[in-house]
Amino acid sequence: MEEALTNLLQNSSIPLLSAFILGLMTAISPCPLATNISAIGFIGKDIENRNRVFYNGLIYTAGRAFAYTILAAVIFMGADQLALSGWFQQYGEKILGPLLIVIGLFMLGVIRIKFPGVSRYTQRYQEKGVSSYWEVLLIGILFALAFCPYSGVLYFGMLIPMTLSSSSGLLLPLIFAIATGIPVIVFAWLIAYTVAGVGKLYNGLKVFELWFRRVVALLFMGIGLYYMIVTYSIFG
Amino acid sequence: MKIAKVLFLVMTAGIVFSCNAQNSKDEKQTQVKESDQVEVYYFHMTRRCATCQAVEDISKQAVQAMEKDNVKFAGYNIEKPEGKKMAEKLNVHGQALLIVSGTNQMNITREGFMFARTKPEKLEELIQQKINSFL
Repeated sequence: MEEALTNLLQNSSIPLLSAFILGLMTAISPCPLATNISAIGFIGKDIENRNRVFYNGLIYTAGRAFAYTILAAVIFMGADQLALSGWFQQYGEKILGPLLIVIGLFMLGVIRIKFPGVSRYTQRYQEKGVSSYWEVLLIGILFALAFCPYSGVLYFGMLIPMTLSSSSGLLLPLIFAIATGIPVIVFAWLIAYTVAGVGKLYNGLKVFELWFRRVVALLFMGIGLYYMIVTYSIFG
Repeated sequence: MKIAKVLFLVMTAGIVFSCNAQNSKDEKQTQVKESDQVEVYYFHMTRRCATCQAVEDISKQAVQAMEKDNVKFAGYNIEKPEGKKMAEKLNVHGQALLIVSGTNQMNITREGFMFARTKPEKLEELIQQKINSFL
């Protein structure tokens, strides 16, 4: 699959198609697999409503598109591409690790913050567990900016130069983002479909959703820990 | 007295020019020596993906296969002091695959990440071709 995409990319003279292929290459490579699994879990955790899972996927992709396009626009306006690329490649995943653990703790209800004005929001989240579209959008932005080594080179080394020189310009990061989101949406929907089916079988979809959400929270914490180990070179 | 002054000036100028000429000759020799050397540098982060690892392996393999004493490979982690120092010297900010000879530098990071896993033989050939263009 990766080889076929590389061949396609080499032979493509249409920037929009190249951006789409680059996005697919990013999505299916093993490098951002951990963030993709977290995203699938986050998008798919509202299993009671499969339409909601699909909308979550769309919003998640919109979040990615927002992040990639803004970043490209900042570079387009003259920001130092090399310095920005270096910063995101070096710190993106380092910030993501602890953040995933915190999000996981929130999802489990271990952390409860009661700020005036937002307590209603956090309470709703912790009690019902239903994520708002804003949260999904934020996860999309966050995961897009947490460049793994491979996606960093594909975005900064290939997509950005193409964006700067092509007449399609800022449309390319948008197409790239859609392509990075498609596999995640498909998997999230499939998992939600399967899990919901199993839940229905046991006549307890609500209970099933609650447990599924807890599993996703633990998944977030596990992946956060994984990122902390690999990016801070803990254990050597 | 005037003649002595003129002679002194001429002699001083002669010495200075001959020294300069010697220096530029030395520089030329150093330059030739420098461009005879080709270094392939691979810069990476602490966290390394499968492709990053493949880029390093293939590059190292390509250099070793040439069996030339004046062609060297070096890998650096830019998050470690030694790698950071080298990256600053070569003006590198992130992951990079560079071929350096004297003051000349070629950046083949894109090709490295594109072919390392899917077409390793193509990357190996490309690296050797770029190295040969410097020799």
